[in-house]
Amino acid sequence: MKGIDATSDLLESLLDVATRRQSLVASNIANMDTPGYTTRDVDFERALASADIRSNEIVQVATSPAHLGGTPSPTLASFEYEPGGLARRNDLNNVSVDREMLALSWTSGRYNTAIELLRKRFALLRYAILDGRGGG
Amino acid sequence: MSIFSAVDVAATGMSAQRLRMEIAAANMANAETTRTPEGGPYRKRSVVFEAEPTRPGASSGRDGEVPGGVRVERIVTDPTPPAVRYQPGHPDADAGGYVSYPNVNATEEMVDLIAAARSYEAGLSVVRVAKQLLQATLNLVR
Repeated sequence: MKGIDATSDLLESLLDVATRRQSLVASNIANMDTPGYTTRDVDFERALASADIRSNEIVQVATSPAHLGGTPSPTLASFEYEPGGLARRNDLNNVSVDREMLALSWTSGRYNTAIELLRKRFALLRYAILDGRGGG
Repeated sequence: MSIFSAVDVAATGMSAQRLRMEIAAANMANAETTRTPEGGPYRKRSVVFEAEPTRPGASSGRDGEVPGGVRVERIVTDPTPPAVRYQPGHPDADAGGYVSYPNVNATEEMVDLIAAARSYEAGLSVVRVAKQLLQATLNLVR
């Protein structure tokens, strides 16, 4: 899937970031009753904008001084943050179920949209490969 | 694929809430229990939740650390003194005719039960959404 075109790469990044966000939402919901727990989220826009984030590539690691080292790509974890404006309850937990449910819904909407767009992309490629004929 | 880690994390939440419900049920069932094998009346139990540390992401390298779920760190027994009632004829009455009863408040336990059920449902939603996203991804090449 790597390098088919820029649009597919961007969509793939979106899938990765969305999956990451769903993991965080799952963690927040699992910990909605844990004393002292703080909500975590990922900065969606910034993570997408970062051109390196989509790397599934093999990261080149320099194991000898003679090697040309590769620049390490930032992991998705570097775009995580603790959102402000959430009220803390008596046990210092600040998870808001409504916010998490909304995030879940929003993220899955984005994810499904990206999937649909990718499917259309592949359908176009298939059409081109088969020279416009159905059965090829 | 880290969509599975979301399911794992949600599952820990659901397990923790289920245990919380079982403890609430045990408390309610034993609200009037005046004798126990370890002596004295039943003592109210509560769960203590603790956030799990981060775990390595399901997919390699790029994912880095993935946030963990929750676990029941321990079950605590209520240390407060039991409620006493004056019942001289009761088989568990002490020398003064007082019987020690568990300090279980049925209303509190019911509310805890309902809260646990809601948290459980929230976890269930996460699993449902993760399942649907996985299905959509599998349909990518249909």
